[in-house]
Amino acid sequence: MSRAALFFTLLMIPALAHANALDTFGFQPRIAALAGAGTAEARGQAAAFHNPAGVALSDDIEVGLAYSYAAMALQLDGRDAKVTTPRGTSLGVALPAHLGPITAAFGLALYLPDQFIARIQLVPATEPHFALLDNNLQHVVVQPVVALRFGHAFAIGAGASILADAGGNGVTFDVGVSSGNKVGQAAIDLKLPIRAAPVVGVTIMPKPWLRVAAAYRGELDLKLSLDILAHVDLPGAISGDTLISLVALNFYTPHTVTGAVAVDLGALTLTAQLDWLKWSSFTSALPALDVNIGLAIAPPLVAPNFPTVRFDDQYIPRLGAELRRTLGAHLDVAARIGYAYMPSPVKPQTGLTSFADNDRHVVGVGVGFALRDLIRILPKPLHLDAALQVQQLEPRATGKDPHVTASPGFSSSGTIVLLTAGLEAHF
Amino acid sequence: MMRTLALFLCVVAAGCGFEREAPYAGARVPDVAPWSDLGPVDLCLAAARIVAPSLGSAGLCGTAAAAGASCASDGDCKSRERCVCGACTVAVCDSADECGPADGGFVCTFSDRRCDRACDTDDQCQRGERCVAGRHVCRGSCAATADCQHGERCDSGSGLCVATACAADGDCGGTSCALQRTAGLVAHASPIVTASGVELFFEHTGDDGVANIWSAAGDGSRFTVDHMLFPGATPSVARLPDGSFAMVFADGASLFAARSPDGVRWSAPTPALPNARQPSLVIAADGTPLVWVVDPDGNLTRFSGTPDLVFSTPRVALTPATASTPLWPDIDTLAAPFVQPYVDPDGTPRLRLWFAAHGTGTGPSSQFGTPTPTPPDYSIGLAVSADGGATFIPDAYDPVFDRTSDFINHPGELDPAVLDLGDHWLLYYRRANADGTQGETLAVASSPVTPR
Repeated sequence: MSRAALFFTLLMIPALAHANALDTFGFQPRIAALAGAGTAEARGQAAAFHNPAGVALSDDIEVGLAYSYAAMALQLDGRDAKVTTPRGTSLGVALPAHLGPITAAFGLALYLPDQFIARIQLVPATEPHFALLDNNLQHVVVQPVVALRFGHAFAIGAGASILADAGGNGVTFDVGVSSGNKVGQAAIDLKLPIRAAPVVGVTIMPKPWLRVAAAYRGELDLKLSLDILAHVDLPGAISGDTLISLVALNFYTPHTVTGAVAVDLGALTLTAQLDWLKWSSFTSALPALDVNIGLAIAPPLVAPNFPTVRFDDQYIPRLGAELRRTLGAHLDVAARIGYAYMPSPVKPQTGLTSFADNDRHVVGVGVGFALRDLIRILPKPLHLDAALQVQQLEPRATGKDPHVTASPGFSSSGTIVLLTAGLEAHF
Repeated sequence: MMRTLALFLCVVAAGCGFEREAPYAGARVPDVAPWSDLGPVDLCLAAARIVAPSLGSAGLCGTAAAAGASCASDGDCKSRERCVCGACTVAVCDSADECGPADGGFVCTFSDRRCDRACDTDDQCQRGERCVAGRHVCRGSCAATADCQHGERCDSGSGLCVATACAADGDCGGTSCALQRTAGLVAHASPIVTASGVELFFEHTGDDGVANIWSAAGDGSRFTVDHMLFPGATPSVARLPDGSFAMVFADGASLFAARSPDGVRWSAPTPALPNARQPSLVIAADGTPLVWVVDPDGNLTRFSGTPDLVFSTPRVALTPATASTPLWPDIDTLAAPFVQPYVDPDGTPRLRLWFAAHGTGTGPSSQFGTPTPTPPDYSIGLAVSADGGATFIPDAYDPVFDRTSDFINHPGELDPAVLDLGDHWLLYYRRANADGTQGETLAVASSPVTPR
């Protein structure tokens, strides 16, 4: 029964920690090619996710549309982990308005997965499972921001990253026998209230060729709170209530602070940034599940033993470079390259839980074309960008502490290949 | 206007490309718990399944002469037939288990002792069938027995196909009884993976009370008995480094050993170890045979063997006291060790010990407000060793397998044996009453658990 108790509590339903797809790959192809180094370099619509202040750095109305597809060749114990492919559409919008020396801008970053608005899937925590890269990369990302630029030296922006909870009165059903007839009826009450986390950013341009930027995004998650209440009335046999109450956090995105710098050296732009992701604040990797059975004959619930699951803070250095050339009257081209090292925030899983995650090397390459004077409705350049990003997971093998569990250890490894392409129109 | 149009087109394009993927993605990795109970192992002896002695032999009248069409699954058979030991026939039953999984479409009509398809209306039945009022099962309409399916005859009074359950020819009034099940006690499974599937060695006790060691071949949950190997009990089979097989088994109060080049032809048994029972044989990485047994004191003890499979040098590996944990505190008996070597991904060689133990793994129940202690029962526990099996550390969450019925009843589970099939594990165990004195049948569970 003890293992059964764990089955009903800890083992059956781990909550999972996740970054979102845009954190993992970068918003829009240009930033993906720079391995996500977009805090100081992104401007206009592309900045709506990475640094809201950058939205005001563009004088044009911008609309960016991109599609991304990531092949997840991830392995657990040498076998295909069958991680769901993240693929979806990114839409960025920047709407600036010039008010004398001040430019005000509204921006929106939207990521819409192909398959799900959000997906919650819970498996036993003892089973190896990719904690940050599983199918849960697939949830919608909505980030509206506003920004102000003062002259050409300073810009500031703020906004919110928006998600939803899933809760309400849950599911209630009645089963039993009344007046000799079988009775069964059910009701459901589920709400998806909006949650938001603050996003702020600042960009300072002490020289025309130098940008120094910082950004912050608050932690955000989807809190699943679901109660299932069964009224059972079988006269002479069983009568009473059973309540199953599940509270779990999904899609956790930690507090993130980023510092970045970008330097223009003629046709060459170099950028570097350091991200600090405060995973140590994530203490709800395992959900709470209460089962209260009031059927007058049932055994009481065995108190579960929840292990403490802590993650490490994550420091991610990113480097990027872009080289631009003009080829004729109607065409500019840009070549981009980027590198990032993403150490895993997941500690060695020698105990009961088996969250799989690996240190990652991220390399991005990309190309961009700016087409000028193409058609009458687009008097300003139309940008076409494409990027290839490869994330190589350093193999990791974990043995279990036999004094804690007889569960087997596990190994994890793999490669992620992202292909993304899109266009950016200026008006 | 043009700006608005371009913006609209961008938004519309963003909505393209929606496409669904399977609802449950992601590989599931086997683990020591939890398990999905798959039910009794389908063990066929010729045309009949071996079932628990409490169920007894049974079949249907009048079908012995002509076998049903050959099949591999129920889908190969007609609407009211099931695939029983490779032949299509209406299936006899005295328990729900015998009609397959709950979502398999068949239910047991206990009054008629046959598996039926449930229905509420005629249109839920096949052509030529009708949903029998008040019974909610599909039955065939007929004018003659030729209109019926295998195992049935046409009842001229009702115009329906009926089947008559029997245990012997004498129950059939002149026709023969085609047995679909035969009673026998099956225990102590020892599975190995072969090129063609799974070979299962097990102890079979017939009506005469004599235990013999049999082997069967199958896919992991369905087997056909090959033949009887030796008189004896509790076999444990291991593969030797040269690809041949070794077996240790009990006969009386001693253990005997045999060898086989192919798992089919076995050498004459030779004495291996006196005063021991319920062995589990493992060949160490250096080729040394090791066997864990239940010793006369009730402890699980390791013995080292010679290449000739003669064992000595005892070392107590687990006692009832050391197997007890805070969640399984009062273990008084250990039984049926099954040792499984493995290498953790970090390169550490380890041994996993599955064992049956008698104790209380569940707290008291509240029965109509009265706290009632849960009686002790046999459950399956797990321990791990990092020192070659000299000592084992019990899992803190033992027992790892313990069935519960009707909220408060805990039947017994004994004789564990685990088979690693890569993407999933199978746990063979023997069902029994709580104190293990009345064995039922061999059953199997699977890990990882599967969403239903």
